[in-house]
Amino acid sequence: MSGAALPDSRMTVEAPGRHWSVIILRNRVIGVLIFEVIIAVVFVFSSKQFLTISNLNTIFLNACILSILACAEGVVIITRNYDVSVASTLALAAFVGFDLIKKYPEVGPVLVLVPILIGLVCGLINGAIVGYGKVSSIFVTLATLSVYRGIVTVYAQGHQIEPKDIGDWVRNTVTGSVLPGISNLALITLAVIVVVSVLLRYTRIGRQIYAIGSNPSASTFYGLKVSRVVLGAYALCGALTGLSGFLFAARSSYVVPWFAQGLELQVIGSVVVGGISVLGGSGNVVGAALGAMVLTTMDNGLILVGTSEVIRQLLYGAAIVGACTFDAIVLQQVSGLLKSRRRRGTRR
Amino acid sequence: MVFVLCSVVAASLLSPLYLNAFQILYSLQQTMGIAGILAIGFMVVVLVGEIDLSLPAILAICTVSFARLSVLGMPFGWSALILLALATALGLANGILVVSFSLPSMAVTLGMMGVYRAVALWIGGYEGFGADAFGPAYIFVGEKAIAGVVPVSLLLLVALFVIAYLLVHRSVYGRLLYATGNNRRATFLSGHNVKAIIASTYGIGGLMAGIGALVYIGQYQSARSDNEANILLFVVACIALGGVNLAGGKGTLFGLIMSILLLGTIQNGMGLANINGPVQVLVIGLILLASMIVPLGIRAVGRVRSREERTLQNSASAGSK
Repeated sequence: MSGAALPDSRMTVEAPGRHWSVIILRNRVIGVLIFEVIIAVVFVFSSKQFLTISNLNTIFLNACILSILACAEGVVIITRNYDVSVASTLALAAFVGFDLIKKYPEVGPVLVLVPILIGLVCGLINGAIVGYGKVSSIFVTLATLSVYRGIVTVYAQGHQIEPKDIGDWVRNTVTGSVLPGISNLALITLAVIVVVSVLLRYTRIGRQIYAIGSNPSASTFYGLKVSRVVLGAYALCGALTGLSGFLFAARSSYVVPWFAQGLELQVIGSVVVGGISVLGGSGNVVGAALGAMVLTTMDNGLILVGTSEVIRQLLYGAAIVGACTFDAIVLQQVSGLLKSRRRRGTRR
Repeated sequence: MVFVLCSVVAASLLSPLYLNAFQILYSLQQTMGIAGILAIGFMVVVLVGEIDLSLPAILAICTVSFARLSVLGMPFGWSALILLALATALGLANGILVVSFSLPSMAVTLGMMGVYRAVALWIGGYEGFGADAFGPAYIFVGEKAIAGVVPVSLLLLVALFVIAYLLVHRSVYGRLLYATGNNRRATFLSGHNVKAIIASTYGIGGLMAGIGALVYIGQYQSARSDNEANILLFVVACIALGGVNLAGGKGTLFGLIMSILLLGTIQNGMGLANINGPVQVLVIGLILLASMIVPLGIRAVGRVRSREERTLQNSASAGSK
């Protein structure tokens, strides 16, 4: 009986890998890229200024820093946690780092390490409480969000960093170009994306990050040190956030205590749009970087078309909700497929 | 409780203004009214193991649309009804979105927070509304005091706490909230509509944000799209400090009331001692962090001690052999 039913069921269920949800899941990065091209084409036709060298350059450079942040946040989200304190970490790292650059100009470029180290420490604090304390990450980072921001404000005491306070080398690290034609900012961004994606894809800790994100308890039983890996993910996120704090501040040349406030919504938005599942364990940072590109392009295009700020504010929120919902539908389809396959397997 | 007394003493030492009855009542109303109301809604959502970050944004939508209705000349009763219905609907929208696709509530409500703020900006515009936008009936809830002493909003808060107590601790629905928060699957298997329960908690959260908006209008007599943008930290700190388990299923309303009193007193005391805003935020954030770390420390100490006891017992039994 079951033997006779088997060929039928095999024919009715589509061959695995052909179902639309599986195709989407496998090619998410290409999907984001296609989406990017579509919105770019729309804006090319709706605004004359969009397709100019200087505008494309602006979009690209604006997207760079958001891409690094999306990379950083992506690593944490892959472990099924969140970090909503990125904007505050960034501000703390940028402000303290630039304040030291202002006070000790003779030390020179070594001071680049200061923001990165501060970011690292902030990330370690987040990671230690989330990883070892097993407290919900959103609450921990919500607390550190305000703590880090409070520290910057207290540290600043009403002062701010102005362009005259910083040496030329700082600006040159961002605006200059070692390779002719490509700005350093783009090079650094590219390097970060490549390093992080290689780290996630080809190293042991990278695979552990994915394993923990897709099933934390199974990873524990398998013998992975879940707390330590989560700590590592947060540390990496913090260090990258510190780096982007330096780049962001060097690019804008002004640092105020409320620097980058509210940026976390954009960062999480780009990660989610880039196809990293908020349920953890899937997606990659190239997608997250592309997601940052998509959001920046939309933002830029909507400004050029003359849309009001309301719509653009709406965009980030709607992007998160939309991408989440889409993601959930695809995942439900895929897990349905897997279940039906498993059922056939047991019958056999 | 001891904490509350300590902080009252500390605050009265810091500022001579602190210790007088009127001031205490006033401070209760000012610093804790809205946060307390939001915290009730937040707690109900947290009890089932979810989170709604968009509550302050719902409050903002409510304040600006309330102001719009007031400008249009709608009588207070009608607009209050519309407002509460709107708030409940916005909360329910979150809940339905979360349960129908089984989405992670944190990401969805973070996104909805952005959406709702934008909607509030669309309704209220950049300038928002000033005191002249509101009729006397509109500000009654937040501003007036009965017999000149007891603020209406305080009475409202107490009433809400009583209702919430009955709902959470004395009703079938309340037991279901705890059941869902502790073991969603078991609750589902015992024949309850878990999705409806979860969605309804978001509705209650939204309703509380709406009531919070009523109080807000009276207290500040202004409405802008960025109203109460920073209250989330305070509310979450109240929840965490009050012993409500952030993973759901544990916590009592009494603990929440105590922590609201404590945090409100601390914040009020800091305000009277001329400590500026950012430092206050820093302190509240540190308290929130501490409220999460201290139980961990206690647990770790307990674990070490039980291990020591075990080794002691082992060595004792080994000695007896």
